[in-house]
Amino acid sequence: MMPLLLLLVLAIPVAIHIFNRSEGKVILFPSVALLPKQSTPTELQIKLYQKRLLLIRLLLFLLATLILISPLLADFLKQNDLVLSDSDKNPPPLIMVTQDWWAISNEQQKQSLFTDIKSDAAFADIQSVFLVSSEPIDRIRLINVDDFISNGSRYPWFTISNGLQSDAITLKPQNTWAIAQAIAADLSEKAAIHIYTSNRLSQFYGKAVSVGTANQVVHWNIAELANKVANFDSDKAEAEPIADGISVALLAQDTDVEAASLNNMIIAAIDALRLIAPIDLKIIEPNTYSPQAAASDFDKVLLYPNDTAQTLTQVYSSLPNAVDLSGLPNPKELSFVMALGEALLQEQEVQKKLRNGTLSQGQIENRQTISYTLPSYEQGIEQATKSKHPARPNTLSLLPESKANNWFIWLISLAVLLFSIERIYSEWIHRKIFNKPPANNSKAEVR
Amino acid sequence: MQTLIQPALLAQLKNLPLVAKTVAQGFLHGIHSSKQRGSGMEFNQYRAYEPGDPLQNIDWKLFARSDRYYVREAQRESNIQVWFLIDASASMLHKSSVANASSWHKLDYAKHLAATMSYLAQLQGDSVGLLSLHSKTPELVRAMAGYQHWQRCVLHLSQIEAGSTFPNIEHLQSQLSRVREHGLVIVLSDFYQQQQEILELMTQLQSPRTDLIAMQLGSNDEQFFPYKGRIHFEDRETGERRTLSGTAAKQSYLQQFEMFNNALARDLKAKGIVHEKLSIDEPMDEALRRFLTARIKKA
Repeated sequence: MMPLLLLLVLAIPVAIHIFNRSEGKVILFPSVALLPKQSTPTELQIKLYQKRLLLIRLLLFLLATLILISPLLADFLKQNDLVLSDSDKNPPPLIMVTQDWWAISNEQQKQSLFTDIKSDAAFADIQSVFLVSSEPIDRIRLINVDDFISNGSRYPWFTISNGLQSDAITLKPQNTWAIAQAIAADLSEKAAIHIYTSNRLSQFYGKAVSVGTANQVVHWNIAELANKVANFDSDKAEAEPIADGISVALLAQDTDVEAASLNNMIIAAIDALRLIAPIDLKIIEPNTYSPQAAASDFDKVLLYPNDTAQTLTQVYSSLPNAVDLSGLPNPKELSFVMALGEALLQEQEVQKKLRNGTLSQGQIENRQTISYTLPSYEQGIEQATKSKHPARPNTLSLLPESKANNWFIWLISLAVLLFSIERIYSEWIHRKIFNKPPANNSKAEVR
Repeated sequence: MQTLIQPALLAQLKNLPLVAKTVAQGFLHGIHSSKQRGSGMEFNQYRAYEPGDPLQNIDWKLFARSDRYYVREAQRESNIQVWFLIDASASMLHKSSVANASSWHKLDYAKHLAATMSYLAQLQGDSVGLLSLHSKTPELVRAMAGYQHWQRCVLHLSQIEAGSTFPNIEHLQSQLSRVREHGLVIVLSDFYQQQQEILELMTQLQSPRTDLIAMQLGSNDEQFFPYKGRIHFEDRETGERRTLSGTAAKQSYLQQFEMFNNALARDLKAKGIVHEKLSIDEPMDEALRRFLTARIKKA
């Protein structure tokens, strides 16, 4: 506010002008007859000229002040949200839709979102929607809002049909808090943030960060996971049942006695493990099942490399989901069951938690810190948000660079113009008053 | 009344005679180098003896009667009358705006000038007469010689107050007839007039017997017009007001002022009247010395 106080200086010449309206000195003069009568402008005219001149000079001063304090003024307006640009009066909100919300919400919910965007006053002026997919590489995309409404379900990277058919996608953890905060970081102070997400644990994987600033209102639209198991609680995690089934392939060995007994022991061990989790076991022949098919069809491929089938088992053991049984204890021993269960089910347990675990609304909205982090994922998310930083139609600096420059140039041009006018006008008055020869010179009577 | 005479001024001017250049009755009255006393001269006055007076001048008969020493003074009779006509109209009250409070206005200046010059005239034995001109009753002091008469003149001078306007010539006729004697008529005025009345007066004063001198009193204000800003100029005599911007009016005024002066000088010259310009903002002794020496040279 202080710079604006400088404008009070403008009042000084005006005050002088107002309070200095002396009637003029009275001078007793011996030869008034010699003084001119009408050859010079009357007092009224002189005053009028001077008023206009005063006005011009005041304007000039005002402009100079504005030019000088314009950086300060810009800061001041920015701080106090006094900028009167159209977009800033009612800043459009930010809409962020996660892939998981899209996947688990039904058609009615989606239509409700579209209707809101189209007609709700809160979404007026909105230009685009942030879509957050589970792909770490191409996580955030900015979609034109009309495009989103008409084609929302047609983005292949984003669309998952209802019913969680692809666990692979929904299991990929993401930190929705961090993503939302990254997007909201450049948002205008007053803009509301609407986040459409699920309450799946995998969606809130990592450290919780607070979204938005204190002035920004964050609306969480949380789609409840339909078949939720239980609220996630890290303390009780051990007690959670390990649910989902796992498909396991056992690579059949040569049909000698030793190998057959080994297979039987493995099958017996898996049978034992079925008490804990449903395990779908299939024994496949190396000759009839290609390694590629084995990698895609099964969660785990158990194999027991031996010398006879060396070349083939080497191919299989290089599969990502291969489990080398030779690294485990001897199948004849009891500890083999434990080791096998650990190898098959431990990862499943984590993924199961991520997939089926949920956070309560309070946990999401209150931004509690969940001590459940995997640094590698976080880094991935950070990288994704950084490298794929979306365009920012909603970010509002006071004056976009070009606009501010225009402003400044206009001010300066106006000041120069006004200065020229002032000079010319002043000169003109001067000539008019002082240099005009008296009109009745020759007729003047000399007494 | 002694305030009208400045001792320092007199000291400078004492040896400058007042030259009356009048040709009358076939002889030249001119420089009187000193008062002429002695037998054969007409008795003038008794004066208390002062140390240094010649003993022969003491009137012993009077001493015998009164037991006091008196010096008998005689004076050569002079036909020369020196008249001072002082314009006492309101415009003579003008004082320079730059001057301080104790400085003179034009009337003061005229009084001092008249007092000084009349003293000089009195010193050389001439008669001194005085006529103050204002719209009230004109006051006249008859022309007479002698120190005491001079003192009366000075007293009268100190009592002159400025009236409103210049008197009507018709009302002055009786006084003017006295002024038109042999001698010197000095008119002290600013020569600002409403209807040429001062010039008319001058014309009436003109005669072969008189030596007419017009002393025009001016000031720096009128000459340089130092006024600035919005000023109401008010005439002292007519009360007329003109509101002007000082700087704006300056050029026009100066032109008018010059034309006025030129016209006055031309008119006076045409009538054969000596025209002397004096500025009240300049030292009087300088002006008077200049005037007197110029007259000596002319004579």
